Amino acid sequence: MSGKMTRREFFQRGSQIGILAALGIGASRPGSRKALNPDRHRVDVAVVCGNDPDAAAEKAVEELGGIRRFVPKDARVAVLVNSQSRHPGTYTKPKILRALIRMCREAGASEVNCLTWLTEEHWGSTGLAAAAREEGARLRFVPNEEAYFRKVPVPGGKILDHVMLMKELQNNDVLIDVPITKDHAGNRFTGTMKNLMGLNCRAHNRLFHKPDWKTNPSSIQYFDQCIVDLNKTLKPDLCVVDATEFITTNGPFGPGKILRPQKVVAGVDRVALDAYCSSLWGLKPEDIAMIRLAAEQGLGEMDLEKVRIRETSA
Amino acid sequence: MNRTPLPGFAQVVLLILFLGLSLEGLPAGASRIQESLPPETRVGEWKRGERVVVYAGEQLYDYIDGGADIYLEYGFQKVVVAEYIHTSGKSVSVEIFEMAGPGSAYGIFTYKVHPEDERIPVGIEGRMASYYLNFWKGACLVTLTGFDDDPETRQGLRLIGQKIAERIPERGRKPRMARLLPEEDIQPRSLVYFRGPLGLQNAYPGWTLGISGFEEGIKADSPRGFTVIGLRYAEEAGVREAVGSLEQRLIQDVNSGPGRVEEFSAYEGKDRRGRRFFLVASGRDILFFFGDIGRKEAEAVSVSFVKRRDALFFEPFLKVSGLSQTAPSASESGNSADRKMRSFYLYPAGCWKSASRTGDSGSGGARRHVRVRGRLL
Repeated sequence: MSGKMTRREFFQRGSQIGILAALGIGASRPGSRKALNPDRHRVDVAVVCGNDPDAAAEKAVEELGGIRRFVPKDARVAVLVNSQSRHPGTYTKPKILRALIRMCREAGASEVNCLTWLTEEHWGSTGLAAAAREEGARLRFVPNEEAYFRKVPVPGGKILDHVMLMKELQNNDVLIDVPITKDHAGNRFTGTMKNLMGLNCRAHNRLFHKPDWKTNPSSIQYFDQCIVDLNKTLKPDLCVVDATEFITTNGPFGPGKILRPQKVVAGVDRVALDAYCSSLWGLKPEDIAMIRLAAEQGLGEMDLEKVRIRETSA
Repeated sequence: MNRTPLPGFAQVVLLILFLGLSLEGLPAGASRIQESLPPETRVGEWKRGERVVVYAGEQLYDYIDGGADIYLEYGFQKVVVAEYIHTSGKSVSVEIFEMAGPGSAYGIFTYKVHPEDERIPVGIEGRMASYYLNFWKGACLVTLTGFDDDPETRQGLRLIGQKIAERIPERGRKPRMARLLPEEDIQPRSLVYFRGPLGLQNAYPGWTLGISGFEEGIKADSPRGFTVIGLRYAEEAGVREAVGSLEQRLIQDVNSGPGRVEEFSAYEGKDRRGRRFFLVASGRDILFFFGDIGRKEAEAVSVSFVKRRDALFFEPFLKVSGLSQTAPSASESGNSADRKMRSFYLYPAGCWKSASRTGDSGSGGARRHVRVRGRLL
């Protein structure tokens, strides 16, 4: 994919990518992205180890074919990071965000928008606000009110028939998901799939809990299925996961025990990425209901033996 | 000028207004927990930031979003958040969580600490990790987080933590349920006390048995290679229901079916991962044993658990009447240098019987009563 793509080609492609489909513009379904991108890239999951998170992020994207594969010229790019807490190992490293914004701009993106319904305080205390602004991205603080969200149907939803996505999302052509992987008290693990809750209305996220979840263990899995349903609607074009240092206890807010693999992990297959990241601290992908359910429902590959992983260093 | 005293109700209104203004921006009930912060704004070389925020009830979602659920399960009431800044520019964040009671505070403390954390003398129990400190006291869990592990930061964590601990009234003890496993059978730092399925799933991530409805529970690891999980129900019927549902699963999951051991209502089974476990049901409690443990050892730990449970049940009675629990022995009598002292069995219903009258051999009945020595009142 080069920067010479015409606008018409861009929209032809855009009609199939997740972000437009999520807003009812296209006709996305799980796996459509694979159909769009034939098996010409030899890497499903790029893992780059190094002490500089920005260099690692750049190299990881390079290993996947380069940023232009994902960001056409003049595209408006939405970036979703995790800025929940300022405790160490709980938020996406600002350096990774910086690297992504720079890459997008180099690819010719017309805008890079950091979307969030969290507050300026969250972004300020983590250093993410400064990183975004200094690199020329726009911070879009979306009020947590339903008026700013749009009802979008979930194709093949097992629990959810719709989600409530930020209207702001429709002003973008490309979505890049940039979570930190870490522990989560609710379902043991957070990564690419769970991070997308950051684009869904918080009030609607609360419905991901069944009313009896506190007394019925099977209702905890309900939460995982809701995340999977959300991911059926919303498909990031690229995921870049911060696995440089993260908490393995007391997630998602911390403070907790920190593991420092010093890795940045990138790819498109969210299930494969989450499966790989969960293995970084000894979890088995099949034990994380969210990953298992997503794999069973065709969102990606959980079996790392079947995933083409390339590990390098930067 | 003549000054007419304000009518009583007006004074009350003014007082309320004054108090209301002084607590501007804070949710109702916020004042008490805020008092846990040291009144002086300086602690050593650390100065408290001006901003002190309180989140109550479900406002916790505004503060920690997806992390709120586990706190709410444990009985979260409110949290006060403050920051201390060192003269060098370093900072320490302080979170004082007020929970529903000491049991809740202890529980969330056990959830947040790690067996490798260093034990420190702050609060009832305190643990220091590389860059943060947790302690509990009364109904509060306090978490102090530094943003590096420099000695200066760690010293600040201890100093500020101690100042806060001094201001929290000491009341309550750790829950009885958390005192039932004999220390020789467990690694004390591995003990987690929980109040719901989320706590259980976090305490033992491999839990696949799916039973619920319990009021409280514990999980602990043994140095001998097994893990014990105890669940307590409000009523014995809850235990019967839970075991009943498990029996069906076990029958489905294990070819040989469950094997009952009469004296302890014990079962043996395999979970969905194929791991063998033992289950012992007694009264309102169920104990699960996973890992490297045989049936006899599981039963021995269970007996110890049950004896401690019954002894703790009678603790308030023992204090009131001046009775003291005797060490179990084979001999029934043997009391009596002082003829007024006698042995008794106390039963969970609260009544007691003289040992000489019960004729109870103490074997099967050991689960249901505790033997004490005392003076007839």
